[in-house]
Amino acid sequence: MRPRVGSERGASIIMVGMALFVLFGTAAIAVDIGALWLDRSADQKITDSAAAAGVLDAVTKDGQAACETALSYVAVNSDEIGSIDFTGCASFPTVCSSATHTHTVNSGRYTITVTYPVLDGDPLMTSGIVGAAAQALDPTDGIPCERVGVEMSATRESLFAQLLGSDQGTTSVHTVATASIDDSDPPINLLVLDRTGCQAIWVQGGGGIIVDAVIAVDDDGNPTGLAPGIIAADSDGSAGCTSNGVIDLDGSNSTLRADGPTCPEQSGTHSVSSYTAGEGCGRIPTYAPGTPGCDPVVNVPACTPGSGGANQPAPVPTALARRLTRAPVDHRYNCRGDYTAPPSGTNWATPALTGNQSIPGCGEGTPDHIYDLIQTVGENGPVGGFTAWNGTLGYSCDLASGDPAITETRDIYIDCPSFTVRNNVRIVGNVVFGGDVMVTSSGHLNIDNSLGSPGWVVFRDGLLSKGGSAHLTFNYTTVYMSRTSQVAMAAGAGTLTWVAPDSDGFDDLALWSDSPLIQSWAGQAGLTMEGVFFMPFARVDYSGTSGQNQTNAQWIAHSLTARGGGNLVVRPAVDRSVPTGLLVTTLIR
Amino acid sequence: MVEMAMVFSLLIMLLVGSVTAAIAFGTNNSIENAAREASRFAATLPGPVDNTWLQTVRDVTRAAAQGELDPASPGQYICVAFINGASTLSLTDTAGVPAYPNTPCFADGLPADELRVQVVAQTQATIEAVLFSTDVTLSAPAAARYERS
Repeated sequence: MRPRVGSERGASIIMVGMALFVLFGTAAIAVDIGALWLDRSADQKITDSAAAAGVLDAVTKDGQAACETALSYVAVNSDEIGSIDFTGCASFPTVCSSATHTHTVNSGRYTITVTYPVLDGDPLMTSGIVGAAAQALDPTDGIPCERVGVEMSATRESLFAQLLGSDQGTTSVHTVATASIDDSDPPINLLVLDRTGCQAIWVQGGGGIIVDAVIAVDDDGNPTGLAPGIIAADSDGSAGCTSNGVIDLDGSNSTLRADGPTCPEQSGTHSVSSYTAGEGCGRIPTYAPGTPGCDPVVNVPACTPGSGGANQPAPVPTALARRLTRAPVDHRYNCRGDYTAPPSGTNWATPALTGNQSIPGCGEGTPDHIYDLIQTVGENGPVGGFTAWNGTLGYSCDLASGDPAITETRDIYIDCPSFTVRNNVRIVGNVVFGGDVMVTSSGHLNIDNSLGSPGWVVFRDGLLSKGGSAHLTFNYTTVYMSRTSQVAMAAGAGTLTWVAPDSDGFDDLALWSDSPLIQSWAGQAGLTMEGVFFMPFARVDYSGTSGQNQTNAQWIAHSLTARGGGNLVVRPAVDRSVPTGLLVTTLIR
Repeated sequence: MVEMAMVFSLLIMLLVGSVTAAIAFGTNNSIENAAREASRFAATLPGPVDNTWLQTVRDVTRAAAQGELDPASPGQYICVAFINGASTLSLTDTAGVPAYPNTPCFADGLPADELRVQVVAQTQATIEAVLFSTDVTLSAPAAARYERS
């Protein structure tokens, strides 16, 4: 029998074959391309997390730490990467320069590359979208030394697409993160930088430190309300701070208080029941373990209260997320890639430590006004363009109470090993002091640059002392003090007026001191302080008189002691301080 | 016709298996996305870090998972941990019931003193292949460095 024409036998195999081809083709698209998209999506989140974590180290530590941290976050967030070899990170610079560094590691099907710094022209600064045009630089992109890039490539073997001739697919994503101080955060009113010590903030003998609420402003400088006043201690308390904590109150009537907007915790929580609304509503963060709280047993080494636990800071200290460091101040006034340690015995030191120092994120193209000032003035002898007080002008180095008032409008070099003022001396211009300066009796030393352009004063060496009844004025003038200089103010009926410039490179900087010596400040009948007072190596010793002294200043010191019967009230104006707020990371590419 | 029926039944198994596996794939993608999204959110969420803070992060995790982490979902579990040196604050949410064990969500090998946030999003998916089915637990851990204090 002849087979019938049009028999359907075997047709199913053709149909199934065709169906399978379509099925596998569809599966190839759905599964393999879907898997690549999944890789891309997951990897993007991993690089986001890694770059954000790494850049915080780039601006607070160095490139090596940034690389290691970024890679460790890649490992944590990836299901497939168990551990990563960090050794290549050692090639990253401790001082950022215009040379970019990369470290690439291969792990399984992944290739991860960390880049620091990320230069403006780096391919990473283009968009992450394939084929997209280069993204124009934006001011929010920051500078290369404040950027970390993480790139991740993944190769995936095809499951179905192999049948169509595609063995594997590759995806590549990258993230560039930048870190900057959050300008919208209120400044820290009082910051102590001691990294390990006990009694970094030490209030004793009825002394008091009070920080006021800060008037917050928006981007246009318009007030938006009150922000918490902040007292911050960077010490980790590792110097054995069990009996005396990083924050230490002694006695029954010492005060450490940060005020802020009215807070619900304010009533009933604090040991001092007479506080009014807003008092104790600020923040007192410290890096030391043991926070939050100030129990003499539970909260050491962060805090030890006075009077057996009854006298506590208000509010009690809380935990800092990371070290705060002096970097914001350096970034603004003296952002140098590398501070060479000075020769032994010299006065100039920035900072006064052995070994070369670097501030992360500083390098080429960043301001170094303090360094320039030191180079201009020199270490000893006459100063170019300055008139010598004693040698040229013929004024005495020891001015008596009955001497006539002196006014000079010029740049002056005080060529006196010891310069004593008991009368009225007013200088309009820049001044370099070569030795000790004493303002005593009812004398008044007035460096007044309030009318013309801002000025500066340099203390090459020695003591700046002021008697209780004397008057000292630095008006719109920045003061630089060397490693061997020291402030010694006596409390009394005199006045102290110290106002920072409001323009030019030293805008808002009232004092930059490289001295590690104790700097003594005291309450005055009239106290006007405005701007940033920066003493990163010195313990500030504030002894009050009765009453409260208002200062519109921001204090940044190594450590602080407050004693005596008065309170120092610290209340910086937002526009007259260095933003020491939190670092915020921004993912820019 | 018989072989057609046999082959098609196999194809349907393959198809149903592929579809349910793809759904599980999508679910996994959603919870991974949710965990990483929430950890990044938590990294910039100001304190004070307390139970309310942890709950906020949990809610963000749940919202980012597009319904995959609803309390009614079988096997649903969320863990949020804030690690600060030796002390840890954490929240676990199992089928909508919160607990505060104050232990890390997972061992991440990061330095002990590094302030960080961990988020784990977990749920269950079923892969069907007509004649048999299997339940798989999908778990997505994520960690982010904390940026606020």
